[in-house]
Amino acid sequence: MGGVAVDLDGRTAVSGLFAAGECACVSVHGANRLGGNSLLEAAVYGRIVGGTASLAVLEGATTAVGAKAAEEEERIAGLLGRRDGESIVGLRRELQRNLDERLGIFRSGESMVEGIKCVTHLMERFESVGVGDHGRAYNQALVAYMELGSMLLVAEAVARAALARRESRGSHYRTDHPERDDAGFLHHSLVRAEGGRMVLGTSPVQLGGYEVRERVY
Amino acid sequence: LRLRIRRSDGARSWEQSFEVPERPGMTVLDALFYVQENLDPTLAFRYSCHWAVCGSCAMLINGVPRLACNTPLAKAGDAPRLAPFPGYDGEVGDDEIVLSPLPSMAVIKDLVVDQTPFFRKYRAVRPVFGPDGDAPTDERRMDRAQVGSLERYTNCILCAACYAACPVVARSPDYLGPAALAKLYRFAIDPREGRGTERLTSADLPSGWGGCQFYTNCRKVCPKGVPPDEGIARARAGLRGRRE
Repeated sequence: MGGVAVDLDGRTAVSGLFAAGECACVSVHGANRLGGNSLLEAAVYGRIVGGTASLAVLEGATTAVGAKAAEEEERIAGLLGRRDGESIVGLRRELQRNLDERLGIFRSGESMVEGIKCVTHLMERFESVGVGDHGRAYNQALVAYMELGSMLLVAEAVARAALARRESRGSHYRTDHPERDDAGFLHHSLVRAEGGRMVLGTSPVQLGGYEVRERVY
Repeated sequence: LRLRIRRSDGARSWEQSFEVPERPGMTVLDALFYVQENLDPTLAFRYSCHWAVCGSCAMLINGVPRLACNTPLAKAGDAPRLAPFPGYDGEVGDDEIVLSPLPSMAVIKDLVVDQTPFFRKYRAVRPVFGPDGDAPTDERRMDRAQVGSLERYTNCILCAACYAACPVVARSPDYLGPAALAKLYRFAIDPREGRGTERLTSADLPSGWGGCQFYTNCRKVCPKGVPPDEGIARARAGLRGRRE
């Protein structure tokens, strides 16, 4: 149903960074994940990935994450020193409204193009947003800031993949392309950052023993 | 409506009041978000699910440990009478709700407490199913009555409201407390558990079953209707029965 691309042991493309649960995409659910089924990825892969990550630490693996820590620390110190700027809450509300209206349950190419424009604009404004709490202990304003940054990234990735997928499948429904198109789109959409830009690619679907069928309620 | 909040930044503590425009159905958690988003972004409180299943947002609401997400502003005054414990006897004026961090745990910031001792005691009772013998080829079946008696205790969401309301915990930091003991009892009576008797005797101590003085605050504040006092009483009766 989408998420950070991982292998069966929860490894991401970044060495030392693992993902499990609702943020990860092991692709056990197909194009739609039914309500209540997040437990599978949380419990089963949580355990598996926890094991993989512990082993990596025990084996003393050098990671890209460790090398980045000092840089990140510096960035946070800079953020905490930023005294003013636009409010996180206002920007987040605009993002929510935009995604709800233009990239929600029913989308169309037209609405999504507008949606992407809006996300790009919000990303520019995000650069000058202020963090309202400058303390180190339990700083929820800083958490909100970081979450908003991630939301904007994910919003753009989802929007670009959804715009390129000119069909309807699983939880993705386009009013301008209401039918499934296996010839054109029976693949995963994969978004990657290259030189500060998002690049859209695909990867093959492993169907296992299942035949692709429409889910009827 | 005025929200009077007991605040702390680790070094100093103070009280601060915020005016919140009340909406129908608004909960204490909604009001806290209103303050954080509109009046003071430095206010800290723990939350996650907004739904009374995660157990993150317990705090003293007018002196009573309750879940902020599960307490409508209109019902903040409807709380049971309790036996005294730290933080219970505060003045609450008209048109205000007083919020403070749970007692018996150190404050990290504002309404956020350090839950380490609570979870250390929870882990101490080994809250993991330990069946006897090999795994069955079929399921481990139970009858409905057994499920019902277990469910009264498995409904616990580890919010620590009972722990904070317990006068014994406040006086004796070694006491396991109601949540951990209710959890231990739940495993002691589980027919699938292999070490049931051992679990019963493992807490036959003043810091275990013996510590409870049946104030019954735990049962009264539990947002999930778990009765730790009853489990403790039954555990004690079970131990007496074994000795006789």
